[in-house]
Formats: sequence, C-alpha cells, structure tokens
Amino acid sequence: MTRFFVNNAWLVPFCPLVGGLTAAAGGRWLKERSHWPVVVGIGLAFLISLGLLGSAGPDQRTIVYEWFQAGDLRVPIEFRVDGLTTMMLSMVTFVSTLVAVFAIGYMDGEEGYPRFFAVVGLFVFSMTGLVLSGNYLLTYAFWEGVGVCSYLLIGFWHSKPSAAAAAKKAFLVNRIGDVGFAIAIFWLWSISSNHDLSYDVVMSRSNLLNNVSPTAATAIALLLFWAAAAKSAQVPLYVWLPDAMEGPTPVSALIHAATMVTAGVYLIARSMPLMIFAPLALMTVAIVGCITALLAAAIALTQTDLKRVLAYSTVSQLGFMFMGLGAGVGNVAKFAVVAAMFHLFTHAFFKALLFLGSGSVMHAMGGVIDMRRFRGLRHRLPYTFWTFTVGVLALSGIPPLAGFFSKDEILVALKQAAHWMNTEDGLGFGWVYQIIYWTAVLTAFLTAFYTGRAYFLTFFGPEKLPSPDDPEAKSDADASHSHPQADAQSHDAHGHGSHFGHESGRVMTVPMMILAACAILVGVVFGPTHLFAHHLDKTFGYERLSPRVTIETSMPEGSAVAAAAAHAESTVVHEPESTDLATISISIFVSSLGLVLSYFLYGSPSPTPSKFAAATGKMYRASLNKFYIDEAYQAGVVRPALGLAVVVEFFDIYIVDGLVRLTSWIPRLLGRELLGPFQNGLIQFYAGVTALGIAAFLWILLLN
Amino acid sequence: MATLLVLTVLLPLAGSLFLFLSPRLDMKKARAVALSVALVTLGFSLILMFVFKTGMAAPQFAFMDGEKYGLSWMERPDIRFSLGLDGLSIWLFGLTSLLMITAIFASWESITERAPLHYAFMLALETGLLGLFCSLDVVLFYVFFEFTLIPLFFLIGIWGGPERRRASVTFFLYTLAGSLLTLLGVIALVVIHYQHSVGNVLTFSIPELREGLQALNWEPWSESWTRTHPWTASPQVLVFLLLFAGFAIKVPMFPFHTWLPLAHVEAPTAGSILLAGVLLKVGSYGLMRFNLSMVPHGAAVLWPMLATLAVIGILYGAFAALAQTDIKRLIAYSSVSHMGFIVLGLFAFNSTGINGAAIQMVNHGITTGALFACVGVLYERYHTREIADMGGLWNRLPLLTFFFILASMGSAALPGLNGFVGEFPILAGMFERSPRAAALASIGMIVGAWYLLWMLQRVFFGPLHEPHGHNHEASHGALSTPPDIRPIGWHEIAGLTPLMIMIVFIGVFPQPFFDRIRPAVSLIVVPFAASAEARIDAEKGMTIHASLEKNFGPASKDLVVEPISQVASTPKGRR
Repeated sequence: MTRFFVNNAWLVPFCPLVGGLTAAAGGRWLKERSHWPVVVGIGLAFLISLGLLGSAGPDQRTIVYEWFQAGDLRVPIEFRVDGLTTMMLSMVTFVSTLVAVFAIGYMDGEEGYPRFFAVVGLFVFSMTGLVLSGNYLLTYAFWEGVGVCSYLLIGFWHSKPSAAAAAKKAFLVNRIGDVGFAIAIFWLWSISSNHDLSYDVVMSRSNLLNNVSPTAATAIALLLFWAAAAKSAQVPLYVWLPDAMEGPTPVSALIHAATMVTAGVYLIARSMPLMIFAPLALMTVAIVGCITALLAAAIALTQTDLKRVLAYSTVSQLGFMFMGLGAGVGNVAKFAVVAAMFHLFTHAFFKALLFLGSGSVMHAMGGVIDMRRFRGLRHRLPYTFWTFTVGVLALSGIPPLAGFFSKDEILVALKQAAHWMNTEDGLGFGWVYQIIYWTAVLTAFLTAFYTGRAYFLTFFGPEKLPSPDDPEAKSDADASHSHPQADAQSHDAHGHGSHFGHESGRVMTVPMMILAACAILVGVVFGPTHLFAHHLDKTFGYERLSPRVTIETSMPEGSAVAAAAAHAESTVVHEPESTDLATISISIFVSSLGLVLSYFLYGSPSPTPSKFAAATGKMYRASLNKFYIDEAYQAGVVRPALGLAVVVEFFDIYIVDGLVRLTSWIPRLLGRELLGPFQNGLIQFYAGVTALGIAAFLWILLLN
Repeated sequence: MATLLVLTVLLPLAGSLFLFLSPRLDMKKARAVALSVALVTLGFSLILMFVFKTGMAAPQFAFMDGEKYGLSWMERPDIRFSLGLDGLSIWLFGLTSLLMITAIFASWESITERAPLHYAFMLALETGLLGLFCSLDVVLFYVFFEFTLIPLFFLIGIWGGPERRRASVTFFLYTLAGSLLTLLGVIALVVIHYQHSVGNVLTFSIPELREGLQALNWEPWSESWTRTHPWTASPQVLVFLLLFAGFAIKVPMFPFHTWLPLAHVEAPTAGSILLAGVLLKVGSYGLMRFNLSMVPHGAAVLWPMLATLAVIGILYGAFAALAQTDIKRLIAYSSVSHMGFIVLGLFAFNSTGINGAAIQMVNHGITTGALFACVGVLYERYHTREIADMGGLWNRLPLLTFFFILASMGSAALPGLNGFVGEFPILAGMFERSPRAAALASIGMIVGAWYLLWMLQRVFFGPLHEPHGHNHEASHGALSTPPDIRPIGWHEIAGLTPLMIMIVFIGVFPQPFFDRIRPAVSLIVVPFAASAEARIDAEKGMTIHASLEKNFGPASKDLVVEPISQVASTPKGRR
C-alpha cells in the first residue's frame, strides 16, 4: 500500500494540472462551469495527499521520468515522500480545495473566470510539485512555476495598471531571489558527488563532510536564504507581497498567505541538514526574520486597507517562521525546525481564513476594502464575523487556538538557542538570540494589537457602509492610485452589486467555517500531542538534527560545527525543554494585552487613536508610508538601473557604432579623397603618368 | 536517406528558381507555391529528424565514397560535395525549415509588391541555410555561408522600412568583412592540416579536419621562439581570431553587434524572423564547428577575453534592451543578450555548457522568431512599433497576448519552457569553469525578465490604448478604435502555433534533443576534457591555459610547427 501511494505520488500535481489545462482549453465552452475540472482536480490531489500522509518515510521516493541530462547536469523528475513533504502537501491541497470552492462564489460573473481557475490549477500543480520534488533543480523549476502563476494571478485584472505593475514587481523581485537560488544550485552541483542534485545525495553525511567546506556551506546557506527571502517576503525583498494584494482575494488567501509564500520557509527547512553546518548563516536567518517581523508589524499598525494589514501580517508571521528556523543551532535544531514548520502549518489555516473573511467583506462592500469606509459589520455579516473572530484570536495567539501553540514553540526555541549559544559549544552569540527573543515578544504584542484594530474597526462600532459621497472615498482615491481606484472598484464590484451589504452565499461561508474549525483545532490536536513533531521525524536527514552529546567531538572544523552536524548515533543526554512556563505566561499576557488595548482604542469610535497618531507625528507617518522602503528602492535600484540602460543606449549609438562608422569611413577616405583625384579623366594626365611609370621601370632595370 | 538530404536542401532552391522565372505570378499564387515548397521541405526534414540515430557522433545521411564523405566535386584539390547531419546541426536544420513556415505566414498579407520575387529570395535563403548547416566540406560551407547574405540583402533592401538601403548595405558589408577574415582562417586550417598531418593529407572535409587538427600538436611555440618573438601570438590564437572575426560578427558578440538593431528595425517581419532565428545561429554554429573543434588551444588561451565579451554582451544587451522604445529594437538587443548566453556556454569548454549552448541555439531561434512574428502581427495592424503608442492590447487581441506572454516566458528561461533547459546548463557549465563569470551572467536573467515583462506591461496590460490615425486622421479620441483592427487571422495562428508547441515541448521533453546532441558534443570537449584534477587547479586559481596544458601533456618541442610568418603567408600565396 505504501509503495502504491509513493509510486503514484505524481498524481498529486498531475490532477490539478489536468484540471487547469481543461479549464484553459475548454473555458470557451465551460464558461461559468470552468471551476469544475479544477476543483475536482485539486480535491483529488487532496485525497491522494491523505494517502501519502500515511505512507511517508525518510527514504520513500520515486522517479517519474528523466527530465533532461545536459552534459553532467542530470535532472530526473523525482518525488520524495517524507514527513516534511506530506505535511506540506496535505496542507496545500486542503487549503487550495477550500479556497477554490470559495472562489466559485467570489469570482462569479468575472470576465476571465476560466482563466482564473486555469491558473489556480496550474498553481496547485506547481506548488505540490515544489514540495514533492526530490532534488534542488526540480524544486527550482517549480519554484519559478509558482512565481509565474502568482504573476498571472496578481495581474488577473489586466486592465488595471496597478495590478499590472504589482504583477511585474512580484515577478522581478522573485527573480532577484531566484538568481541566488540558481547560484546555490550551481555551487552544490559542482561540488556534490557525481554531480547529483538529489536531496539525499547533496545532504548525505558523506557529501556534507567530504565535499562541502564550512565556507561553502555558509555561502550556500546564505544564497538559499536569499532565495527564500524573496519568495517568503523577508527584508529586504518583501516589497512585492503587499502590492500583490492587487490580485483577487482568493489568490491572496491561497498564494500570498497560505502556500506559495511559505515555500521559502520550506526550502530552508528542507535544507536544514546542510544549514546546521553554517551556524552563522542560521543566525542571519534569525536576525533577518526578526527584523522583518518587527518592521512588518509596525507597518501593519497604521494601514487602512484591510487586505494590506493582513498582507503585512503575513510578512510578519513569515518572519516568525524564519526566526524559528534560525534558532536551529546546535542541539535546538530539531526542536526549532519543528516549531517553525508548525507555525507554517497553523498559520496557513488561520491566515487563509482571515483573507477569505476579508474577501467576504469586500464582496459585500462592493469591492471596497478601505476600513475607513465601513464599520460595524458584525450584524450584517454574521458568518464572516464569527469566523473572522476565530482567525483573529488564532493569529493573536490566544490559547487554545492554533496560533498560540506554534508561536509559543518558536519563542521557546529562541530561548533555547540563546542558551545553547552561551554554552561552551556555542559561538557565544547568546545575547543576539536574547534580543531576538524579546523582539519577538514585542512583535507578538504588536500582532495582537494590529489584528484587534483591524477587527474592531471592521466589525464593531456603529454600522457604516461605503457610499460614493464618503469623504474618505475621495481622499483614498487621491492617496495612492488615483486613476486605478475607480477602475478597481468597477472591476471588483462587477457582478457583486446584488450582494451589496449582504452576507456571502453558502459556497463562500462553508469554506470559511471549515477553516475556522481548523484554526481552533489544529494547534491542540497536533501540538501538545507531538503528532506533528513525530510526523516530521520521517523527513530525510532530520535524524541528524536530534539533540546529542555536546562534548564528544572529534571533527576538525571546530566544535560548534561538529557538535551540530555529526554523531547522530551518539546518545541523547540533553533534550531541550519543550515547555517553558515563563514564555507561555509572557506570550499569553502580551497577546491579551494587545487585544484588550485595541478594543479600548478601536472598539467604538473615539478620538484617542487620532490623538495618539498626532502625538507620535513622524513615527506615525513613517509607518503609514511603509517606512518609505518602496521609495528607497525606486531611488536606489530602479532609477539607477534605468539610468544605466540609457547610458548603455547612448554608448551603443555614439561610441560602439561610432567606431564602426569611423572604420567604414577609412576606405571611403582612401578612395574618394586620396586616390579619387587621380581618376580625373584627363588623357594627358594619364599619358604623363604612364610615361613616368615606364621611365621609373626602365631606370630600375638599368640600375640592376 | 542521403538522397533525401540533398533533396531537402535543393528543393527550396528549385522553388526559388521557379518563382524567379515567373515574376508575373500574383501574390496569392506565389505565396501558395512558397508555402507548399516550404511545407514539403519541412516534411522532409521531419523525416530526417525522426530517422536520425541517437548515440552516433559521426555525421549521418552522408554519401560515402569509400572512407570519404560526399561526392567528388573537384578532383584536385579534393573539394567534395558532401552533406551530412550530426548532433550539432540536425536541430538547427530542423529549426530552419520550421521557421521558414512562420516567416512565410508572416509575409502572407504584408507582402503585396513583387511577391514572387520576395518568396523566391526567401526560399533561396532557406537553401543557403540548410546547406550551410549540413555541409561537411569547408569550401561548400563557405559557399553557403556567403550565399545566405545575398537573399537577405535583397529582402531587407527591397521590402524593408524607410532606411532599408542603409540597413542592408551596413549588414552586407559588415558581415562580409568578417567572413573574408573567416575565409583566411578556414584556408589556414586546411593548409596547417596539409603541412603537418602524417602523410601530408590535403583535405577539406570538416570531420577529417577536426579529427586531424585535434590530434595535431600545433598549439605551442618552442620556448626559444617565444623568447625571440614575444609579441607574436601562437598560430592557434591567430587562426582562432581569423575564424572568430566572421563568426563573432554573425552572432553578434559585443562589440560587433551594432548592425543588428538597424537590420532588424528595417527588415520586413519575415526577414527579422529568419535573421534572428537562424542567421545569428550561423555565428555560434561556426564557433562550435570550427573555433572550438579545430583550434581548442587558441580558444583556451583567449578564454578570459572571450568569456568577458560574452558576459559584457549579456549585460550590455539586456540593459540596452531596457532602454528601447521600439519593440523590434528591444527584441534585437535581447538577442544580443541571449546570444551572449550561448557563446558563454560554448566557452565553458565542458559538455554541460556546450550541450546547453547547442540546444539554446534552437530555443532562441524559436522564441525570438515567435516574438518577431508577434510584433509583425501588431505592426500590420497599427503600423507602429513604438511601445508608448500602445497599451491594454490584451482587450483587443487576447490570443496574441497569450502567444506573446508564452514566448516571452520561454525567452526569460522559465522552467518548463524551452529557454530554461538551455540557459541553466549553460550557466551551470560556466559556473564550473568560472563561478564569477556565471554569477555575473546570472544578473542578465533578472534584467532579461525585466525588459520583457515591462514591455508586456506597457503593451498588453492596462486600459486599452491604441495607436490611432495612420489612416484615421479623422478620429482623434484617445480610446476611439480604428474599425479595421481585425482579430488575429488563421495564417497568423498557423505561423505561431507550431512555435508555441515547440516552446512547451522542448521545455517538458528536452531529452530527445539532448540525446542526439550529446555524442557530437563529446567530440568537441575531448581536448578540454576537464578531469577532476583540472577542476581543482582552477579552484586554486591556476589558469585554464595551465590546466589544459596539463591535460594535453607538456608541449613537445620536436613537433613545433613553422613560424607564424609562413603559416600566415601561405594562404595569401594561394589566393
């Protein structure tokens, strides 16, 4: 049975692919039924993933066919069915199924309805392929595949200039990361045994010990993280994700919250056996994750667009996951990776839920998503309200909802890492992890606060619905996208008119309710029971992450690396504590504090927030303007590059081509100016020259 | 099969002669004749591609005359009419016959004046290109090589844009100047082989020359000679540079590329498709067939310069493309960038890089051909190629948008599409040779995506904004739509669809292509065969030169060839 599922693992990406292609090719005829092949395909993929879940094992893999072999670069389509893969796979296909069903209602009546579902099918194909892939190059291929689907879906409303710009931005920023990934792959390829890029060869003990020098390990780890930072929206490459909210909301829920953006986290978790060779790279991961989490949370505090609040929240939570991974030094490795992946897992449910909720709000508000233009929707949208409440509590980290458990584990991991770093095997950077730990606590507080703010602004207070003569409507239109705004609304509102002010239909609320149930349960069910951790144990190379003897080291590279990497077989003496009462109490305290504070400030209309905003002045404006990061990129990267392009253009026309023209001018000069005058057509001149020539000839003859 | 190959090459010439001789034929008949000839040619070459055996390095489908390839053409010297296909040429051969269909469909409606002549030149060009790729004799190769210039000269000069005269003359003279130097190089190869091979064999056969010259130790000068003539390059370097002159201009490599944007902008769509799709490959094919195969040591010595030029070309072309406002110029510069990748792959000197380069030639032909064909569709409707004049054309031409996006993604090397299976091995191969060069070239991937996506964004995304008024001076409203913008026609679909299928097919199933390329590449990399030892040397910072020398064994002093003056003067004497 196990082999049966493993050998047919290719069906998981294949079903959505067929669904997507059917929708693409048959969209003309299927029209408003175009969702059927895709929903069925994704649903089948989910069922097969469940089968795979039970078949997972660290060495379960299957080769479908040889993609290509160019010289020494061999790329088989090989799928790996281990703990990490199956966990991701079930999550991805489950959320995808629900979001696809939700989209049936949400996208109803859109022009390009078949196109939407076709690309969603392609996306699920790429995403499942990404997590199933058994070698780096295949992962890279699907990695770019999800990127292009994201591009097509962000640009779904292609007539909207802001959507087109956001799509391009997303693709290009991801490309910047991909180049890092590509270089990491070239590097791994050129050093690994037999030029094999399979995970089980690259990350086999012998390869890591014999072929990968500590320098190479650090460099490759950092390159992989560079790629992950682009895909998973970390500083400094996160800028594309907030803009990506230009896409339809189901896309934001599926791709830009639950699945694709976690690919970076997945990549690092997958490469963990390699990463532990590079403790400094891991610390970089933790630091970057920490900065991102704090920065994004600070921006989310002031945003007025509900979807953007959620987008920044996603960036911030991804930062948490990277903090977790970054804590994977020394004997904390296993615990940290489980914590990070668990957060990825729970986050997928409650963040998808929140996005779908915001989509439902948007649907009911005729395409308006600016929180200044509606309020107090809890009575009008009861289902949305209740499910959103669950999402908010989960995201804030209130026990016993999902987010609490996973976030708490990350905090514990950070604390352990700080502890380990200060032991004699560590590198002595414990204070760094201490700072990260307390920043993470602060971020957790901010998270609860901004989530509460968005929640109370949307659902509490006196009821208010968007109307065109709202003063905010105008100021909003002036604020960022003056022209597109009108366009955006007409697009999003298209076909939604009849829903205005009403709760969404069953096809949309049921997926939200299922996700809400998950957001309540997955934490309790998989966390304290260690079900999740045990499942991840079945991942290739993870046995080497287990805690082990820290003294017994014989490797030459230095005790830190040695302790981290080798000796899987050594006896376990020190298992890091997985529960930490202090951390739990702090965590619960800050989360509740954030929510309560936001209730007092935003639960009912009050002048306090604006007073506070006025008081903080500069800081408030900086947060509102996203700390001017986009502007900095424009001035620091885009403009110089375009300037360089113009310089090259001029150089080409005037210097390179100028030289060519100069060269072509030489024969002309020779012919026309130097030799031309001799061809003057005068017989006498010719005769004279002939006579001269004969004379010279005779003279030479006579002289000899 | 050998007969079929000859037939395939000569069939377009026959069609071309027929069209030359019947200039009064009307447009519809002329294009029908051209299309049927091209289709039959494609059919023949498809048969050849299917019959082509894998795992064979030697040329196939050649007439054999005892040990020798081909039929005797001139007795003395033994120049032979020998055609044959190997892994390096088979796909370029197929590409030529495929792109010809697209090119004919691209001229379907747009060529109304002197149509028979136009199609006659196109078919003549096809014979030239097909012949060039399957020539097994250097003289025959060179004849075809020069022959391709003539039809293209007329195609640009007669049916081109407003500055067609200047463009065609520049194109012609520039490439001719280079190819004359190449001729010198080719003659030098033959002469060197004659003078130094065992038994003084005078051969013009490409396979024999490759084998002979690879075995011949003619790379180093004796130390004493180097001391007395420190300023003179070794003969391999000199011959390499002679051959390189013509091929580098054809590719075109930076800084010999400036003829290309001009020629593209002025050329009719069909001309652009063939120029970018196939003619540029003649350069890289020549580099592979002659420079790498026959003068490997010269290549190794000049490696730093060549790799630098290739990397500069990649980045320079990409940035120049970013600054363009005319779609055709943009794609022309993107060709400079992409051809830089191909050359970079060749100069990786390992089978990974060269395999990638060999397939990338085909890929670039397909994607760039498709892009030019798409631009042709736009130009026929709007009579402009200025990006600023257009916007939101997705609303007007959805199918064309799909084609354009797919071709752009293929060009931007998206995995699953054709560009990826070429570009990735190229960079991987280069990384093994020089991580720095590969890393720099990778930046070209970012900029490459940038100019393509930006162009897509401006032309197809956003609210509809059409150029108005070339024949509608009356309508001045920004969004008023010219009534004659017809949807994409059947012949345009027919021209583009095969290319789209190939973009996906090569991306998903590239192995049949690689299987046939690999044996031929393995012959090229023999002299470079980088052992693990050599790689370690490279990591230690030793030059390729040194590590290659290590592989070749020390330069033996008793096999020193004649001084450079004689080598260089012999060909001159023969002329």
